[in-house]
Amino acid sequence: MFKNIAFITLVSAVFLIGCGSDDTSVTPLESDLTIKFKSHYGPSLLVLGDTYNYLDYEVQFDKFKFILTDLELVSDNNEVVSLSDVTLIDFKDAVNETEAAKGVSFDFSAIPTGNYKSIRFTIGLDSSYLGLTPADFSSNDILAQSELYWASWGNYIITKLEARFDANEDGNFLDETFQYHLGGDEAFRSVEKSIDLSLILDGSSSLDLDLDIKDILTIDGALVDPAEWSATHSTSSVGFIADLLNNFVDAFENN
Amino acid sequence: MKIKHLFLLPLVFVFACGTDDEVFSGDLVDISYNPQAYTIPQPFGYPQMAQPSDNKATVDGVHLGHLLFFDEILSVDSSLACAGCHIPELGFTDGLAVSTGVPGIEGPRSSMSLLNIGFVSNGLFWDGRVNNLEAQALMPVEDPIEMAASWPDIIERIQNHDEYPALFRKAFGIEDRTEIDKFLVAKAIAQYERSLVTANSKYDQVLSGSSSEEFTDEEFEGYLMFFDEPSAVADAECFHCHGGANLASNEFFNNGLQDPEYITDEGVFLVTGNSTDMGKFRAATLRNLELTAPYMHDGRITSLEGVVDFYSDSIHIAGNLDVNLSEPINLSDTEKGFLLDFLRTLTDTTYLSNPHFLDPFE
Repeated sequence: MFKNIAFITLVSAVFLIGCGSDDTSVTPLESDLTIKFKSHYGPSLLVLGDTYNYLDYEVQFDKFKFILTDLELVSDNNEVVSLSDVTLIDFKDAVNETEAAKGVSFDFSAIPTGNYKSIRFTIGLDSSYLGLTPADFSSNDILAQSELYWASWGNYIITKLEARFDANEDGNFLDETFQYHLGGDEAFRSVEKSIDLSLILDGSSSLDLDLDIKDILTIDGALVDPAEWSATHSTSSVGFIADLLNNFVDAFENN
Repeated sequence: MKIKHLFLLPLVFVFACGTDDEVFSGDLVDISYNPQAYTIPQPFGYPQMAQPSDNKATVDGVHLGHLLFFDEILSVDSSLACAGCHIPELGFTDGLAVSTGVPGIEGPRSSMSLLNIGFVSNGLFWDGRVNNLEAQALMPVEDPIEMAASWPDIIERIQNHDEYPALFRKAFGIEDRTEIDKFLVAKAIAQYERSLVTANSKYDQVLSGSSSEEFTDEEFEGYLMFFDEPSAVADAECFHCHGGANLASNEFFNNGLQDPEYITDEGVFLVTGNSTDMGKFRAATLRNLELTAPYMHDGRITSLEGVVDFYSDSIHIAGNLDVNLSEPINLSDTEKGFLLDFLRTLTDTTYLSNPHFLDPFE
């Protein structure tokens, strides 16, 4: 009996060791990361439908969304980790303080552990997307959504920022409005933001990316007056669109 | 207990379980199951239709869905099919302001067109309350103001039907009729609904160049107004909410239809509870508008002319009125005529000559 047990034990040991000898794989050193985009209006979280002061108006924001591409982390050793190709940051759920505080959140797994010094991405769609239309994508793809494509311009709308204004505090917020739908062949900007992120094995980290809408809407030291710029629907808006996009970069990088 | 008696335990367990359940006899295994992918058309300008990985359309699945869609078996008294409120000749709507269910009770909302519904990717119904066609198809059967049935009763009918069990076998590979459940019924109907693709209107033909069709001068002016192209006439800018190939949007809007003092339907707010969603509804496709009167979520506008008049002159100022509608556009009668002429180019009745869109029981 004991001989049989010893034999079985021996065979099992040989089998296990044998299996191990061909296995050269190394457990990857990976971690999870959550990235939260949070929008602010000055010192406050941006809550859609809430009222804020804006120049001589009161303002309520209706919509804030933008397309972001090539989201990447850069390690201290200058190794680049790609996180996503095309992402839609849509603050549609920020309808109260609780939801606004959650931000627009994305979870990434299997990120190599290590120290990261920056995060970079493109606001909008770079030239490699020129000429593409929703017909080039699957219907559930971000770039298939009709509301993000402007057929007249033959371009994607890479940012939608819409707001309404009360000029005389009578509760009517349609005294002025703006619909800044940014797009065009040149409507993309690279952003690289310094971070201090350390990802440890099997860890779960979070990175907040904040931007202040006031920063986006400030040109030459003053907030854009909706009475002067209510929309970006013509080619005469190109310079204004460029100003807002440049502000987008600053809003991320300097925050 | 001797060890050999232990072998009896599983048998005892199996028989004990079986006493309360339906008997699984594998009565369908002799029927061949050979799924063939169904090719969903991709009209000019449309994206490729995404399908759920666990319910990709097959020839037999779409066929089964076609039969179920037109079969009154799904209602409590076998008097109303899905097609009762989605009539092919009316652009898969029902021609009523609000739909009427089996008990004769009027529902609160108008029937929505199902043509090209498979391209919608962000919430179905007027208020976006479900995310996909499989979930949508489950709802009318038990809705007390629609089919007013119970799923267990409906499933029993289908399981005991002379023909359906074999068709479920061919569509989904089940081995026994007791495997038919409401989820498979919904999957089959969803497959059929995704196959309801048509885009052969004059508008499509002009855009794609697939025929020698051209817009008239009036239609072209309306096109320019609709899409905010440079034009000597007024901008209507309808495309903000009715854009893309399907002339619709995946977003929801308050279009100023309801007087904010007398809201009769709170729309998306009923789903989300967010005050910013009060009175918002889906911007439905404008395709086949001529066939789908009356208009709006409650069918309150009876004519296409009335719709253009409304957007031109009669919008109610609500707190969350879409900002694109914040200023009345006050179109002239001529401009309204241009817009109407263009909207009529969106009519496509070619699908009505295709039996795939029609009642298979007739």
